[in-house]
Amino acid sequence: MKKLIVILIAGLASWSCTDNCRQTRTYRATVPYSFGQEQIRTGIGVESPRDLENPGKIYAYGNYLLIGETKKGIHIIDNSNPSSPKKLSFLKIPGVIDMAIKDNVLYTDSYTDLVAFDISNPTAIKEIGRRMNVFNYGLVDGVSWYYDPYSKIITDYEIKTITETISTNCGENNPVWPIYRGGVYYESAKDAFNSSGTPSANGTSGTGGSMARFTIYDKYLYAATQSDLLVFDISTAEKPDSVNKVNLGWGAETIFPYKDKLFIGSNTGMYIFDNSNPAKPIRQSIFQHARACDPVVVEGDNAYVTLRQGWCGQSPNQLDIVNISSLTNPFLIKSYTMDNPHGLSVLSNKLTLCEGKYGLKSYNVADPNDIKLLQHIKGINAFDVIQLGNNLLLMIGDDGFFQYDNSDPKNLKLLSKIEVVTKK
Amino acid sequence: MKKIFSALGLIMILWNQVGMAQKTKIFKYPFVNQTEFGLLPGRVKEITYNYPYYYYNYAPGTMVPEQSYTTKNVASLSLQTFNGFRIRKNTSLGLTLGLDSYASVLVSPLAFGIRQVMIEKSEKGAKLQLGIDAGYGSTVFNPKNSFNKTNGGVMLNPAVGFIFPTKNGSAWLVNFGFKYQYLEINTNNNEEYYYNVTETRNLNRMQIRLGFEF
Repeated sequence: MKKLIVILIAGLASWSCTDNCRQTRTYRATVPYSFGQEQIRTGIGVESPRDLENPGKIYAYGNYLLIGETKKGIHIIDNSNPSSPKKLSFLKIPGVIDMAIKDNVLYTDSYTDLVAFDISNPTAIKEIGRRMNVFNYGLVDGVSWYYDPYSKIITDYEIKTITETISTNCGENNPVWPIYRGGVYYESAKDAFNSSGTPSANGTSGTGGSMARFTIYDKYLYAATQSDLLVFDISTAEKPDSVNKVNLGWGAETIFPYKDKLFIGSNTGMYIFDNSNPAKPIRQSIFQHARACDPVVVEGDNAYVTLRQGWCGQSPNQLDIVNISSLTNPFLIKSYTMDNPHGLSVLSNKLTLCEGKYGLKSYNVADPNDIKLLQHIKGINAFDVIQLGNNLLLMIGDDGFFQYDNSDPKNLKLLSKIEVVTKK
Repeated sequence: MKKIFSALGLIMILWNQVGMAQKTKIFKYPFVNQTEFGLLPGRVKEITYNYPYYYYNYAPGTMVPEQSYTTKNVASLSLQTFNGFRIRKNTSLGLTLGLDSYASVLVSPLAFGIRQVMIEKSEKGAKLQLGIDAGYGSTVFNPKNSFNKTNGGVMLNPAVGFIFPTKNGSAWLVNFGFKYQYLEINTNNNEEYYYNVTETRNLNRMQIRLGFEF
């Protein structure tokens, strides 16, 4: 009996009375990776068509359709019959986010560089010009990249699923090691906006998707970075030349040309530039709003601005209609409450608006004081839309790329769909 | 929850059997109640993380930063009641119900218990008692919230102590023991990029109990 007690007491004494708590967590984070600048210049090539995985911006040019695969390349699609689009090829461009086309020359960004391609034969695309080191940083889908000019190294971030186990303080008030996400913003949906405005340019250029940061007017290419508006002279495609740089303040998101005006959407407001001298856009005014993600489109005297909650800021989800008949003094006509508005497009008083996971809406905006909902397609994810004329509407979302016949805005007819293939 | 129901079922069965036993052989096994108030002192590691020097370039998931810790004394309150039957002169079997208020979690253990008198010098003198309770610490009385879910777990509670009988037949109790409690906390962050957080807590506490028996 005494032995048993001794064993018991020894057992009790050897037990540690310290709480031991561990936390296992799984989350998505952006993990940085770096590479030399030379790699982006050798990584260009034309490949056979592939599936859409993470579609970004869309651009329509003649019978062709370009869908950006964010930071990977561009899908080139023959859309001469919108009911059955054919994938022609995949142009691999490291770091591509934006694109614009004029006279069979495609201009894209490739991390730091502006690259020009001859696309007259879409299956044999050739690089014909490059202007190096014009961009130093970028931001897409809430993930940024930056370039260090001294070491010539580009640091980008990729999204990874991370599982880690850490020790905690067992609920005693003390912070745990914070989740470290790489210090960048997050939002799954693409940001941007724009519309189907047709810039009155000389020569043939295409129509950008509602996410464009690139646009072409006359013989100039405009590229909006986070902080600046860069103007390139592209009269010689082989040698795009930087001619001007206009400071925009921080947070520029998109650029929308309408007649001889440029509308720049930033997350604090809409900037209006007079572009009658295309080499030197002059700022006319700013229409300010709450900090929000804000696609903008323009038709006639009205600008349509959507605000939504996201990483750009907190604000009510709404559609603002702004009168811009006086460019120096824009004023709000009316605000309409929305669910989660993303890209939008306006053409002859037909407004099509993407509501993210809430679907696609079609409005009649003939009277800006009383817009009428004509149709609401639910059950699809929509983030950007272009109306390409009076009977073709292009829409892109997380589920894929859709084409609708919009000749009757009360009854959009689905023509075709290209699925997004999720690669895990 | 299933475990609680099965435990309750067991209680019912036991109760029935006891009732039947009482009908046939009244007071063959005398009822024993030991109700005690206790303190669960222990130590918690206060972790401090040494942030990496290249903080701006820190890659998530590639390493957990070095951690160092200091320890802090903590104590939780505990209540428990053992109800059972004296099946032999020095042995009692029964069920133990309790309430333990650990940091941020209220645990209510439900356990099978045994009480064994080890040393008894005289009928009316102090006795040395060994007690073991083993069961499940449930969190049914823990306040619920929408963003995390606390699951209880195994509870183990051995103790030794003294019984000081009083003249009227009841007794005072002083017990010293060890209490192990396992908890699991699932945090549900309603966020697209934050999938799953599970914290496992192994609580090792010393136990000091004071109470009475009748």
